[in-house]
Amino acid sequence: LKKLPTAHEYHLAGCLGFCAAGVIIVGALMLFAAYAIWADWNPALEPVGYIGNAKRGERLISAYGCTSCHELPGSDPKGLVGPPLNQIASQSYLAGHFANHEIWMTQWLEHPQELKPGTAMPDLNVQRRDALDMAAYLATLR
Amino acid sequence: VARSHSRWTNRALAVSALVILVAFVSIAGDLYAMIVGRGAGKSAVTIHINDMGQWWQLVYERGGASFIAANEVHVPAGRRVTIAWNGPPVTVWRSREFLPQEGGRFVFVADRPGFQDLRVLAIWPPNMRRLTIVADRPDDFDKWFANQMRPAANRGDAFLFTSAGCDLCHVVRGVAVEPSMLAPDLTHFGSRHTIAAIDLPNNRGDLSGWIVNSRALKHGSEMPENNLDAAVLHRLVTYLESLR
Repeated sequence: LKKLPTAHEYHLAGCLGFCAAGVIIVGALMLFAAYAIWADWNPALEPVGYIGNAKRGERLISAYGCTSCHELPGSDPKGLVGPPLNQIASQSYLAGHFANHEIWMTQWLEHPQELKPGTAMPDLNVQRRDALDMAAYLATLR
Repeated sequence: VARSHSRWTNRALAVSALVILVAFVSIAGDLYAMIVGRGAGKSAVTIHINDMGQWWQLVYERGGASFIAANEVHVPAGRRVTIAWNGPPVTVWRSREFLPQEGGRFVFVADRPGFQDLRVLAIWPPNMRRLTIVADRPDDFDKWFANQMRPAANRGDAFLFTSAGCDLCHVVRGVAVEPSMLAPDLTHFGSRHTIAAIDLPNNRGDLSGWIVNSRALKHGSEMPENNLDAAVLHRLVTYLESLR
């Protein structure tokens, strides 16, 4: 005959199971938080639908000299030649014509002269990877 | 606890040790500069730096040859170079020491090729500016010097330089030589690493923005706004980049 647990043992098992589940869930959350801190993960810097690296894009924006014409958050000095890009992610159209999505932003950064011949924005010989990263950064500017 | 010295003796020892250490480091730095200076061959290069406020006009002299450039100072590494400063009196701070002066002229020796930052300290009005020096290997410097002597070719898009009005202030030897106001010489502009004196990197994006509206980028810039036609702007930027 199988020995049934006593009432005391029965409650203890339930309590231990509850406790173990809690430890596992909280532990997983803490591991995730630790990893997020270690990886410097910031959901605001990873816009949905963009595959570029926004952090690298932010550095590239000043390296290509975009700030000489466009105002960007924290840019000093502030360029006044082109439109400010402080809220470019909230804008519906690029160059008044193209939908503000990753594909068009990338194309626009790479070949502004082909998309809109005669625009004052110069072709800066931007490589595809750099354009994707800058598009990801610009998509964070809401 | 048994002490061999009294408390005040210990303090005096610590202070004098510190003083001796500082003096040693300072003297060692001076000796190093002296040794580098002694060992350096003469180059007979004299650079006259005319302080124009927002930028520097450079007049290079070597033997009988001379030319005018702006902002980017090239020197041969390991050689003595004389820098004649024409402007308000200044002292020049290098990473370790002040540049020695001989008869009102600075003597500069770059110990190795590369970029060096000098701090130009004006006594009155008190002011500090950065001056970047590019030290080339001596044979590279000879090539650079010979290239800078040459005027630019007056062909291709060179006419844009005059038609856009750049020639009112800027000189490109061989294209436009009689400006009514003085601004940096652009004969070999494409070979420079910086624009806006030394404030911005010399790349396509920064150059385009600088040409159109420089005052937004540098407080007190004397260059006016140039609302050029976009197509002219791009061709002018390409032309300026080709001035090597």
